[in-house]
Amino acid sequence: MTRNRSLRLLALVATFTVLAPAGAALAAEGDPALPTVAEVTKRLDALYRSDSSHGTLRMEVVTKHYSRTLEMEAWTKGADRGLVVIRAPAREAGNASLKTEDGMWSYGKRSDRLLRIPPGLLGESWMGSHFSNDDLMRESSYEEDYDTTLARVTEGGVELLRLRMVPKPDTAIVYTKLEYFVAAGDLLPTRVDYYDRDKVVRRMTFEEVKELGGRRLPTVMRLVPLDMPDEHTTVAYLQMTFDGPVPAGMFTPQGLRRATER
Amino acid sequence: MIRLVLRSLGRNRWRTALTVGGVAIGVGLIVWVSAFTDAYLQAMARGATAGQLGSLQIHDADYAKKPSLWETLDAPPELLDAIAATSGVSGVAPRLNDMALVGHATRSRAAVVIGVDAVREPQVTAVLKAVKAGRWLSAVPPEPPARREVVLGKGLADHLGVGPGDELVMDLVTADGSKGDDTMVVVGLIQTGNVDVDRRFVYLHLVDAQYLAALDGRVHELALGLAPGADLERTRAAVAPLVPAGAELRTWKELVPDMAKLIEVSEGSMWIFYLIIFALIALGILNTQRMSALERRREFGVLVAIGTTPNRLGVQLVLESIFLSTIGAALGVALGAALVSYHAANGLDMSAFASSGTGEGISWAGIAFDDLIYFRLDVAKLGPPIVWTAVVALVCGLWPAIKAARANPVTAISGRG
Repeated sequence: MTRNRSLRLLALVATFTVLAPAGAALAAEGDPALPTVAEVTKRLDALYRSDSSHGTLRMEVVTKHYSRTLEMEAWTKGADRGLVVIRAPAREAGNASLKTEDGMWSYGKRSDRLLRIPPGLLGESWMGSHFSNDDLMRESSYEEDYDTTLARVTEGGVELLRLRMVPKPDTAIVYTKLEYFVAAGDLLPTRVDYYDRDKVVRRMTFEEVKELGGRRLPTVMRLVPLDMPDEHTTVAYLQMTFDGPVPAGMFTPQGLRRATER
Repeated sequence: MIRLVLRSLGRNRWRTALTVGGVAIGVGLIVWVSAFTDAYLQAMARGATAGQLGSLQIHDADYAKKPSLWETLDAPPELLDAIAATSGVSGVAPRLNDMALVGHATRSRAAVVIGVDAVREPQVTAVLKAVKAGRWLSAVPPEPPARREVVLGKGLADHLGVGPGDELVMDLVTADGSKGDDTMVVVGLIQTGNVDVDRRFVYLHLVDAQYLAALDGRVHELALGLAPGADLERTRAAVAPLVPAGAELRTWKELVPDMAKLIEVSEGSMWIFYLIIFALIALGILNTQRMSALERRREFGVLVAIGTTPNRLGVQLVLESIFLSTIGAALGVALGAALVSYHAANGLDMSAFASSGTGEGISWAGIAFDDLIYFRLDVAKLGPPIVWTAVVALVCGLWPAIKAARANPVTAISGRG
């Protein structure tokens, strides 16, 4: 089995490329039709895994205090490297986020400087959205961080597979557990519930399945903090290219400046 | 009589020396501890008010309930001037409170950002005294394209590896979700002794903070200083009519009630300590006098037999006791005062008592102080311990004295009594 790790940046759906393969057959007993976790993740892997990606996306943030819409261009390479540059609106164009093996930086056009994001702040808001730095930029390693169990559930007459992921002890994951729901048929993700103890504290839903970059994907991701149900952040993928050429030099301060000056 | 007393005390030099020494140590301890407690509590109150808090603060009522970037006040200069001119107020400092990521490409840390009026802020807190390197923010904020100025806590600067003249990148949390970054120049470093301030605080010009945080013209807080000798509650009442609608005025005792209570309780509980020390002193004197009276029973018997009245004998013994204690107490006061003077001049290093020796000061109950606290020798506090010791000695000397005076000379001399 390949190392199923990937950066969550860009294709949030790519989260699924990293679900625990672990090898063990974790199927619920008495349901021979239920695939193992390994089988599900392998199929998801085939659907979403990419060695590199390049795309444009639109992010809409609605909070009690402000609403804003950003257009961004983003690149990923391998499991570790990612770059996001804001293209619009004009007053924010050129601001950027960079992730490499060595850490994460934010770049501001006004300061024209890279500023390291310390590990303690990875849980803070990313670009004023409901996503945290961690959500988008963390190099995920689900096989190392979670114990996953699989179950078949029916919601509103729709058959779903539920991947219940409980963080292993000693991992720095703030949620008690995550529940991923994927359509039983095509295995496309439908939503993720993030739990704090027994309560869902935020929910990400996947919408508008479309053909994008040669793959059929949900193209809109909507994140709602359930303690503030009127707020949300919605990310829509406008264009995507998977496995195209992305130069390694993009993910350096020089590459970042070149990308922001465009 | 006095000569007799002195001669008696000189008879058993060891016992006398030990008792005097015991009393001296006890009284010395009282003098030192009372000066220490004063210094410590003052340091706490100072840490609470002079560092950052001020004596009174005005916030938006919602901010007062739960601080939020969006609950702001309008603070026009006329309002500030009116408050500053109120009797009892030493100054009023408008502030914008925010958070920011501060650092550069290799190191950074989350910091508390305080946007301040460079001229008004020092009228409320001791921030100027805290500037340990470089200088405080200039009176007039430099116009762009000159770099925006920043003064940061020394602990924070050390962590980031920057000093005066160096460049620093800041990215403030903004009210509209946009990016609040800019490059700044470090003009000064502060060390207040408040660990929280020294490790996490960054001071900017109010206008710069307002611009970067997208809160033009708004402030979160007005901190008011108390003029020397002014009464807190009376000043509060005088300021109250000026407080804008929807805003709330609170004293530092309301802002940090735990702290205010702690100081009150600490002051009140010291008498227990004094009581224990005096009880020990009393036991020491009692023991000495009783032993000495028993040993000298035969001597007393002879004295009474040759015509000394029991009263005179009793008075002699009480005087011995008072003499012994007063000499001890005087020595103790001298000892205590010497130690206090030393700590008044050189300070006491409190870091020895702190669990984490960081060298950045210590923090307790959320209030931080310097590693060194400076005592003040209060002459008025030196007399009472001597007087109290004399009273204790009088009481303790009475019992052996009465016993000795009542002794029958015949049985006392024959050693059968």
